[in-house]
Amino acid sequence: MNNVDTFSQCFYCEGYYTRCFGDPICRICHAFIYPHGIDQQQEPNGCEDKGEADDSGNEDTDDGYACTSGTNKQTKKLLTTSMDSSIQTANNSVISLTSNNRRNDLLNELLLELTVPNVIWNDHTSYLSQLPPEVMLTIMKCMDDLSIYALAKASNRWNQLINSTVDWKQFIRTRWPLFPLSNDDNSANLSRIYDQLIRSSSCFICLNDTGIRFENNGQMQPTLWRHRRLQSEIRALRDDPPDGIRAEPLDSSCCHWHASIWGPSSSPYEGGIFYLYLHIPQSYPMIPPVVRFITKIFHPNINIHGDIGLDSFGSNWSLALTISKVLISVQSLLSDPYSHICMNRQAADLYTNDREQYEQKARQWTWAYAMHDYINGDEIEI
Amino acid sequence: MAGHKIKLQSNDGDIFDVEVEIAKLSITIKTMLEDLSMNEEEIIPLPNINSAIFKKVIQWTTHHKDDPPLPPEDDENREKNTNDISSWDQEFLKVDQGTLFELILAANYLDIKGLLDVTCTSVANMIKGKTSEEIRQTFNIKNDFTPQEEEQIKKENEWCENK
Repeated sequence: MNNVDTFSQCFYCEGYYTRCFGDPICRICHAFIYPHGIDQQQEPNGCEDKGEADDSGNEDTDDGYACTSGTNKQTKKLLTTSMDSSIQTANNSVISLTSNNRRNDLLNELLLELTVPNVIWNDHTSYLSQLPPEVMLTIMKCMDDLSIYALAKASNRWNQLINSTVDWKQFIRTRWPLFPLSNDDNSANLSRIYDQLIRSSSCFICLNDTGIRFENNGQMQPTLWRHRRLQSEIRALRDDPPDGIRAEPLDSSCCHWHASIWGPSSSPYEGGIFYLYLHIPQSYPMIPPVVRFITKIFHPNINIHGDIGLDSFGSNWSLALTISKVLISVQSLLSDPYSHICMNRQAADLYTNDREQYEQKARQWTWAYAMHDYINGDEIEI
Repeated sequence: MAGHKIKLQSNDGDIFDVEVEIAKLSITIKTMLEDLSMNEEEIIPLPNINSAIFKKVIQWTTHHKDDPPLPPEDDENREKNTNDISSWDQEFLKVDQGTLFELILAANYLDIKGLLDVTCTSVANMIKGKTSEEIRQTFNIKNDFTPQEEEQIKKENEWCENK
């Protein structure tokens, strides 16, 4: 079980570009493979979101891994996009061009950072740790919860400072609104829960994106159709949620959703609660939502990054599908993996050749990352 | 009062002539002038600040002397202003880490809220999106968790790794 908790090197470049700091994908590969922040609002529509969903669709997975070469992927992306959404065809080339540029900008920036020698190292003075606590608190006021968390883990001195000033409960509520918090948790316990939730999430870089949702609100011009449809979906989800499925929008324009799926009974995922992040593009329902697991899960059709290989929100998207139907299909995918094409080769190999070991491993991961009830309780006997 | 100047001395002996209006952006100096009703000719020593940094501080305060007073801080405001740095300030803050942190300490000592805010935001932006490992690398921080504490953290997570 060496790779359960952290990844020692990037899955794609194997450490060639930069260190991955425990994430499955290093920053540079991430910028290359997932060029658009999952909640980027400036786009005129969700065309590239569509493409992104296609990445996790079946066409990339023929070779087992979702790591075909980038140019290949880009053309495929364009192909599928133009085939599927005839309405968008006119905009397509323009949008993919601008998004290409943006990706190149980000990549260039990251690569430049790599090539420029690090001057900070010359004097070996740690300026940051010499700052008095009141200044540290001023700095922390400008930071989001994830940075504060990382800071707490970087040094014991800050850990103590942060634990005595920070409201972890608020952080959990903002980032995992569907997490069942009990009222009697003390702060030490809360910081532990937060810690576990972070550890259980599949990608730190993406998690960072899910938090920035209060910005850009004004830029959105939702269509009436989208608005009506989402309102009725919200009502349906609230009044009559499907078994073991919860979902709620995080912002007023309903672009960002948080969802949870309970592991289906008699599957190795039983007992776990898996969290997902959904991005509903502006042109929804013409364009499918982007759905991603933010809880680590061992499954043949879900890769280490949390992307799901389901064609219903890739090339086979239909207007009849709703958010709750999408989540139901994800839930049923958990009990019935599809092993002919896969997103996680190791899981797929085990699933076809050694079912027992696959179930054992999937259960281990569920225990480790999705059993939040046990995180809540202090004493765990195994 | 315009053009009225006072003398401020940095810790390496240099004496600066600074307009009162600009110097008063520093609450520390303002209080000193008002409470102690200091003589105009008297030199005010600033034992915590060297000339290079003080020059930067004067540069910043001169540029910002006509800024409207900062709005009272509340949560609403904070959320909005996060990470916004004006382009002049961005240019101004293109300095090495040592200078940046000395600027923070100077702003803190002189109690210049605007400068403190903008430098702190700049540091926060440097931290943002980094993992703890990266933070330690970027800011040259020693891992000061004792082995026992590391052990404790490891133990807390062990059950999920070994099962």
